[in-house]
Amino acid sequence: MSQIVSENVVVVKGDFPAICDSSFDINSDSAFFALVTGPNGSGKTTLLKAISGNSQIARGSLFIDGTEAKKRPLEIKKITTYVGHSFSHLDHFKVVEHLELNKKLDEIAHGNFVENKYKLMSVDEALDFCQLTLRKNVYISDLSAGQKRRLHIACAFMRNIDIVLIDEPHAALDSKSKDVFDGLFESQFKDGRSLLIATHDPKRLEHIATDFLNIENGVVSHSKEAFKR
Amino acid sequence: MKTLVIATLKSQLRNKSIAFRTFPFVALILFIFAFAFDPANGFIEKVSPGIFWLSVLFGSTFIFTSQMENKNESKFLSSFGIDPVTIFFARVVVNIILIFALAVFSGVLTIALYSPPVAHVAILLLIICITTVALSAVGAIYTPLVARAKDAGQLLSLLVIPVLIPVFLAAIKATENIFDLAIGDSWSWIGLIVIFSALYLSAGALAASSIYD
Repeated sequence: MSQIVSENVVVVKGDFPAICDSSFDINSDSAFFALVTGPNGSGKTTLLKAISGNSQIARGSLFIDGTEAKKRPLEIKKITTYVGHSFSHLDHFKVVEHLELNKKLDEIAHGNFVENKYKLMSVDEALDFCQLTLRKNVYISDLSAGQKRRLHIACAFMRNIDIVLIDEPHAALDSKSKDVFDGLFESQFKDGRSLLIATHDPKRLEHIATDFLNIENGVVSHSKEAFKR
Repeated sequence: MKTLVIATLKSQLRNKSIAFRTFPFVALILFIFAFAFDPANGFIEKVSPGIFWLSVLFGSTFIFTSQMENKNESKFLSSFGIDPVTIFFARVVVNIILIFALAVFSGVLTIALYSPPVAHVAILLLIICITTVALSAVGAIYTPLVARAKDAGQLLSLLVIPVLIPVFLAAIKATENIFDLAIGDSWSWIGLIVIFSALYLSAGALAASSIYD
């Protein structure tokens, strides 16, 4: 079961409430595929960061699979991962080293005794997805923005986590890469992994989506049908 | 913790600034003072413990500054939900390895340039080890905290050096006593360094969730 329950959540950025008193309940017996839409600056990224434990919740409660984000941030990081615009990594690391480290650190965080719930991407599969098999010994700092984006997303699907939150997955990508990404999201969802994707191009993924969130000026609306625009 | 230590150390060692900036800087300090003082009157031997520890202290702040250049490192390591105390101690171990190597390098140069009467090498190494722990713990506390601020480079030295003054003075006194063959007097200073090292490690472990989150 996958679930995100927001009860009157307020997230403040500086003096400004980026998410205002928002309540919604995304609930699925197996997995959900939620699309987050809204204009620039409406609070999409803030919402994703709050769900992944990367933004402080000023008021209200946010439960991810029954775990309260504010009270148990470490647990939240074992359930969710946030793929944002910037890609954090260790300096002077090669692509293959980063993928191996990503896998090892996830195993350490979960403990070796935890069974994998999903078919996790292997290092070779991740390299293949990133189209970097022949360039696996290249330093990450030498990759292009699109290649870093692929690597970042591959790292998320290598981890044993329930909910993957992706901010603007199609940004900085060519049309062929966009199709490859959409195919990966669909296969991961069918495999039982929940995804929450913030996008300006919801049409691409509407046919798979089970839930729709729209944010206007920090106020979140939830629907099972796509929002008309 | 082993994986974290190996990964962070690998990243640090590949960062050329440690090899090409820190070690030459430490050598430069020692060379300048070696030429500045007259070796004839024995004064240079007397001040050698102070110059040695000064070079290690400044060299350590160089290491911390180069660690700060990768602002996303802490963000990456904390994104997995690994216990922040483990991340803190892994960083301490990495710092210990780097600063100990720096102290040994500086020690060898100090002996070569200043010719102090070194008799009790084992105790001297003990002083270097425990002082390195104190320096490493303070670095592991301040580096990720200061990295979030503007002008982090300047701010780091201003914050780290005052906190380390008691350890720095105790290390100089303990080393001086060894050079004067008054080993008995060294132990009280060594005890003081141990107390401060334990304090810094405890403070880091307690504050780890705020620092590495």
